[in-house]
Parts: sequence; structure tokens; C-alpha cells
Amino acid sequence: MSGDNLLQLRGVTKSYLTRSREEIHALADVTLDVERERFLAVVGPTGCGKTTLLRLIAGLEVPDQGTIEIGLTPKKTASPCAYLTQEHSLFPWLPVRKNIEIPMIVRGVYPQSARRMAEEVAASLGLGDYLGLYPHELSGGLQQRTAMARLLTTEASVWLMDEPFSSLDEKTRHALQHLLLDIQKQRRITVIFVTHTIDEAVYLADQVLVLSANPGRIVGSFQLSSPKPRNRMSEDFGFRIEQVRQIIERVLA
Amino acid sequence: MRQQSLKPEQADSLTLRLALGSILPALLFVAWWMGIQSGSAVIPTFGEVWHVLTHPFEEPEELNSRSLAFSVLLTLIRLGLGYGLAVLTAVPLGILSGRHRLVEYVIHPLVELARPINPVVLLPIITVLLGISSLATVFFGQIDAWRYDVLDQVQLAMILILWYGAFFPIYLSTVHSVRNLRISHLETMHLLGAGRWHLLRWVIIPYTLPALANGMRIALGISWLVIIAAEIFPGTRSGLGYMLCTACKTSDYEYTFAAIIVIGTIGLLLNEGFRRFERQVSHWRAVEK
Ligand SMILES: Nc1ncnc2c1ncn2[C@@H]1O[C@H](COP(=O)(O)OP(=O)(O)O)[C@@H](O)[C@H]1O
Ligand SMILES: [Mg+2]
Repeated sequence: MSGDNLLQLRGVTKSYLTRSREEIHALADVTLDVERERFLAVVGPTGCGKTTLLRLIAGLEVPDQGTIEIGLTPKKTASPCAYLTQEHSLFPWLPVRKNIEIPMIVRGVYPQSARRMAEEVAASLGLGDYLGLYPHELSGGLQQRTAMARLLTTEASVWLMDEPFSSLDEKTRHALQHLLLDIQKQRRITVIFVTHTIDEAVYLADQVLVLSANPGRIVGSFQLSSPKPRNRMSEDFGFRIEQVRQIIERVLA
Repeated sequence: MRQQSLKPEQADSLTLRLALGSILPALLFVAWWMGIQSGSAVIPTFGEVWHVLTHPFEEPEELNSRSLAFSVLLTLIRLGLGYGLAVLTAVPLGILSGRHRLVEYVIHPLVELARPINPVVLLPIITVLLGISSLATVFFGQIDAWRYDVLDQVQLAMILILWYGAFFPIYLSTVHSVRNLRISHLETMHLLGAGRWHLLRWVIIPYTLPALANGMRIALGISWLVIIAAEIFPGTRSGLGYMLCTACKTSDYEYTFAAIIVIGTIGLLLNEGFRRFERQVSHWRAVEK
């Protein structure tokens, strides 16, 4: 593993067979390096393999060809990756408190410490008043906040996020984006963030990856170096969004 | 157009529910009363039945049966053992089958073959096989007379039949529920590095509990039907079913009536208790309904 790279994908290919035994090339020959503490956004049309990419990195799927290396020694049995999806990531049968405690319970953290830690994390994310509620009693925004609190109590240093804010209204989404940037700065985690909103990618990421569908492959990559948090009203912001949009349109055409 | 709610009607006050719920049972009493008025020899008066119900410890001399309280106790002990055994075997097997296809392939055919057979019809043959061996014959050497008396009347054949009747609903609801668990929840635990115990304790069991409670309630209802029916068979000397049946033979119908009332009441209480339990463990599903 070379340099500061945390994550190395080499020629990663993944196909699925449909029911009618047709082969779908979800990802074809994806080669990618992700540096430590980077924020990588992945955009592209539906079905271009974004979810597949995250699941491969998490180790939830196995590539047909190619290699995926993560430059971290895994802690005990837990994965170095944490995975967050748009919905159904919380356990609906557990209250917020236990949902946040679960990673620590599994790690064998002493119950009293786990409890205290969960309370601290919840407070820092503005969840202090909701510890006793169940997920179905929370709004979508609070649910995703809870899910992020749970990521915080893992020891994962790579956060794989699959359209985590897509079903939220704009105001809530912006608040959570801001929160995520704060967390990344403090915890120095690496984030790979899938979204279909260009605005979200350009607001959050250090690098934006554009995927094309069928076969899913990387067709564009942008570096974004302006400091965060970024101003959505600035000229540069609008310019970047336009740039990504043009690439995507060209790909889709 | 009139606004119509798509939700089921809201629950009304308890008083209203009780009042409406008592109408049909009250009609039953009216029918009973009319039976008494007709002078039928089969129908006992309220007073006679009331006497039996309010003197549960009296050993009826005219009847070849133990007291009402002893009969209830024995029936409940048999129920508890057979049903408890069913829960203890069906839940682990159900979880195993739900998690591992291969286990299910082994168990499923036999389950589907055995399930349609009414457990009571198996009682004669099982009684032939096991004879009248009871808990007292199997487990205990020396115990005091009273305990021996009780244990001797808990026949193995009955426990087996009860187990048979209760096993399937519990097993099947567990398998079905475990299989429905979202893969994403399992993946979450996998990424956290959770072992078997944590997976069971925090995901599989709490997720399955609502379905399990439902299966357990249905199984309990079946067990209650089965045990009363089984106690009517020859070879029994005690229990509510036995009392009911013996009293019929000696025309002491007040005991039959009392037994019927007790059977209904206990059945109702068991069901209500379980319904409450079911509601308690299912609250988190409120939104999915
Ligand atoms: N388990 C699966 N079985 C069959 N096809 C799948 C499976 N998972 C994904 N696919 C297909 O692979 C392609 C990429 O899917 P996905 O990674 O979910 O795309 P995205 O997240 O970008 O929408 C899609 O065409 C999808 O239908
Ligand atoms: Mg997707």
C-alpha cells in the first residue's frame, strides 16, 4: 500500500445475474485510490453501481475480479468500515439509547461506560431529549441523526454513506450535512458518500467521482479544494455544480 | 361527501366495552334460566352450581372425583409442563430453522406431515405405548405422599400430547419471523463484529418476539382444548376434563356446569394475559401496521 492511501481498488468488477439469467455489469474495472481523511462523493444515475461500490468496500459483497485493500488493521472482529443507508439502518425494537449503545455493547464496553458515552454522543448531536423514544416515534431527520450517533460509537474510521440524507427536507438535510463536516473534522474519518444530488456532492466533498451506468465505471473525477464549510451562494460553488452537471449530462446522453 | 376515517374505529371507554361485551353472556344465562324453568333434570339450578364454585376445596362424596381446586391444579400442572416443554423446544428449533436452510429442509417435511393430525387422536396409541407412567414413576424415588399423589397424576402421555399440540404454532411462527428479518440488520451487526450471542440477544430474539408471542398465544389456546379433551379419556383419575365427564356419568350435572364455567374462565384469562404480553412486546411495530 503506497503513500497516504487508505483505500485501494484495483480493477474491481462485479456482475449480477437477474432472474432471467441476464448478466448486469454493476461495476466494471473500477480502479480508485482514496487518501486518509478525505471526503469522497460519488454521483451518477440510478443503477450505475454506487450502492454496489460501497457494499464491496464494506466487504458485504465480494468482487468478481480485482482487489480491494484497506490500509488499516481491523480492530478485533469489527470492520474498519461503518455503513449507513437511506433508511432501515436503526433497530426499530430498540430505543434511541440502545441503538446508540449497540456498537459498544458488541465490543464489550462496560455497561456503565457505554451508557455514559451514549448520553454524551446523543447530547452532542442534539438527541438528548430523545434517548427513550423508539425510531418510529422520530422524524426522518432525527432517525438519521441517531444513526450517525451510532456510527460515532463504533471505532470505524471509514464511513460509507449511501444517500443518507436523500429522503429529508432541505433544511434538515443542510443541517445534517453541516454536522457531518464537523464530525469528519473532529474524528478525522474518511468518508465515501453516495448521492444523486450534485449540490450535496459539491458542498461536502474533497473529490467528486462520476459513475456511468451499464457497465458502471468511473467517467469523471474532480478535486474540490475550497475550504469548508462552503458558501452555496458563491460564484465558485455555482461553477463547480455546473461543471459536474455537464459531465453527467454528457455521460447520460 | 362524508368524511370517513380509514382507521379502525377508536377504542371507546372500558365501561362501554364491558357493557356491550356482557350482552351475549347474559343471554346465555337467560337461556340457562329458561332451562331451569322447563324442569329438565339435566340442568342444575344457579344455586347448586354456585355452591360448587364457592366451595372449591370440598371433596364431592357422591362423585368419584377430587375437589374442584385439585382438579384445576392438576390440569394447570399438566398444561404448564406440556406447554412449557413445547416453548422450550419450538423456539430454539424455530430459530435454527429460520437461520439455516439445511436444518429447515430436515425438519419441514415431518412438521407438515404431523401438523394436521389432531393431537387428541394420538392419545390412545400413546397411552398404549407409555402406559400410565407418570412423573412419579419416572423421576422420583422417595417423596411425601401428597406430592406423590400429584405427580402420579401427571401422565407422560398427556404431556406428550400437549407438547404435540403446542409445538407447531410456536415453531412455525418463529421460523417465519426469523426468516423475515431484514438483511440490513444482520449486516449492521456483522460490520460491528457481533458474535452469535449478541446477534440473538439484540436482533433475532427482540425482532421475533411479537410473532413468537402471537404463536405462543395460539398454542396456549390449542393446549387448553387438548388437555381438557385428553382428560376425558380413560386412564385419567383427575383434572377438570375428568371431573366434567365423571359428573355427567353420575348425573351430578352441577359439577359439569361448574367445570365448564371454570374452563371458559381460565381460557379467557390465559388468552387475555397473553394478549397483554403480545401488545407489550409489539409496541415498536406500531408504525408498520
Ligand atoms: N443483488 C442484486 N441482484 C441482481 N442485480 C443487482 C443486485 N444488486 C444490484 N443489482 C443491479 O446492479 C446494478 C447496480 O445497482 P446499485 O449498485 O444498487 O446501483 P445504484 O446504487 O447506483 O442505484 C443495478 O442495475 C441493479 O439492478
Ligand atoms: Mg443505490
